[in-house]
Formats: sequence, structure tokens, C-alpha cells
Amino acid sequence: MNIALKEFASIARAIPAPATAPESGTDGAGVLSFRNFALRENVIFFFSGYLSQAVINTCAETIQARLDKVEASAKVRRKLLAAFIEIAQNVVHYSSESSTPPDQDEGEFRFGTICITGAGGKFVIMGSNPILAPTETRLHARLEAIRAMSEDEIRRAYRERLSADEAEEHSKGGGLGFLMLARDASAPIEFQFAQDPEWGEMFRMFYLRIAL
Amino acid sequence: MSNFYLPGTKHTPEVDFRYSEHRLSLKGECFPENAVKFFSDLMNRTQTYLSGLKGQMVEVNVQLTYFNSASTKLLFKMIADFDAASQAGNLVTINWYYDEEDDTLEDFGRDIEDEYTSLKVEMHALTSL
Repeated sequence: MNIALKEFASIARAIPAPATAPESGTDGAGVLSFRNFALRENVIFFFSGYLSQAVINTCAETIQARLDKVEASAKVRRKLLAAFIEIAQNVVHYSSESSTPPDQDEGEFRFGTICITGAGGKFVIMGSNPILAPTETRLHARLEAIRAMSEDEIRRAYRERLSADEAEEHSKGGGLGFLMLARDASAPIEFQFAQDPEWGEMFRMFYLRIAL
Repeated sequence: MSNFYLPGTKHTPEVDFRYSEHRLSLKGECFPENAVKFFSDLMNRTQTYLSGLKGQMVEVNVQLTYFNSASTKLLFKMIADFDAASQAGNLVTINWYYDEEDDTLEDFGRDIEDEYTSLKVEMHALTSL
């Protein structure tokens, strides 16, 4: 039922490519197959494009409204919304593809893809965005370390970072973001880096998948 | 010191810092795009207020429905200033409001209790809507 990270990667990859608009009344393999796919995979939300804080606010409202209609506990709904905001804000802060100047730290627009699927109170949220290739090593080490942690260890690491005086370098959330996502997740977080012909050697596509 | 009020938005809480009444309240959602900027303004004002305080009872009400990772870190840091004011001879009470179903928010209140032992932390569970 749930899309695997690999499958999401291929969908996310396909989206930015210019779509050929179907002629009036002849859908071909386009819109309808996307719709069928979305229905089959229980897609609750899908966004691919430039994200800004204003877009995040509106999407959060949309997701909230959609979640009010599916069967899910208040707890899970809140966790899903929290994960969405965390992942979306990561895109706005860290995606290497920006439509605003690199030194601008407010009103930013950056490129990313986010997908939420779910049914029966179980949800998966996936995100992807391009990063600069040298970032991969650091991010890989950080996520691998969190993946290896037990629930208690995640909690302890979170608590340590919370009390730490200095915010972690390269991080606007003091290194808390991934720990908070891991804490809320029902399984270890999954991630992947891929070189993408469309983006070239300077970049890697970073994919993240979190089950709630 | 003049009071400070900011209306709430979709991604920032209502800020109602009534220094004249020694009652400071935060209420709503908290995931500003630039959390450092948002909190440093609040912290600068509050540090100024606290620096001149002696033997005062201060009430801090926090009723946030959600805060992102950047805000988590900064909120915790801001509460350190209240703890310091308590150690300096004031009595600061943090009223921590959380949805009874939201263990993340409840845990954060407990973390405040654990870390800042000079503060009086009152936990208030709110019934889910």
C-alpha cells in the first residue's frame, strides 16, 4: 500500500520534467493515470515545486482539513503535521535550488517535493530536495547515527541537544530537527542520496521517508 | 518598561508580555520562518525586564499547540533566563498548558521542570477538542 522510498524517488524525479499537456478530452497516459496512482496509493498530499513559508502555512491548513476526514487519532494527526512542517521548513532552509538570493534568510523560495500517503491511521511522509554534493557525507553520517539509536537513545540525544549551549553548526534547529522526526516515527527513518542526471554532478537528490 | 503585544498568525503565537502586571503569555502555533529573529526580539525585551527585578512574583503562561525544532531550542533557552531570575531572588511560575493527548508537549514541560529547578512549573492538561 505504501510507496517505497525508491518508488517515491522515481516519481519525484519525474515531476519537475516538463509535462506534455494532454489535448482537450484525450487524457492519454497523463492526468488519469496520475489520479489512479494517487487513489491506489492513498495519496493524501503531494507537492512538488518552490516552497516558501506562506506555501507551508497554506499546505498545513490543507493537510489538516484532509486529516479531519480520515480516521486518525489526534495524536497521529499532530505528529504528521509536525513532520510536514519540519520537512517543508528543511526544504526552505536547506534545498540547494533557490529562487531567491543565497544570502536572503527570510521570504525564501526553495525547491522540494513532499508526499503524504496513508490509510487506517498509518501514515508515511516523504520529502526530497537537491543538496550540494559535499553535504551528503555530513548528512549521511548524521542520519545513519540516528537510525542506529534506540527510542531511549533518541530521547537522550534530543535532551542533550536541547540543553547544549551552542547551536550545532550548519543547523537552524540546533540539530534537533531529525531527532524530533525520529522520535515521532514508528520505524527508523529511511533516507537515500542519488545523483540525478537532470541536476548534474554538483548536486545530489536527498530523499527522506518517515513512517508514523 | 512598556508592555509588548504581537497578534498571533498562522505560524507565530500571540505574544502578550504585560511587564507592568508581571504576566507574560505565549499562545498559539510557533513555526516562524526565522525562529532566531523571532525569539531574539522576545528574549532581548525579557532580559531587560528581568534585569531590574528583585523579589517579584512573575507569571509566565505558555499555551502553544505546536512548535518546530528551531523554536524548541530557543524557547528552552528563553526559559533559562526566567530560571536565572528565580535564582536572583524572584519567584517565577511557568504555567505549561498542553493538550492531554499530546505527549510531545507534555514531555517538553517535564524537561523544563527537570532542567530548571529554580522555577515553579505548573502543568495544566487541557481536554482535547
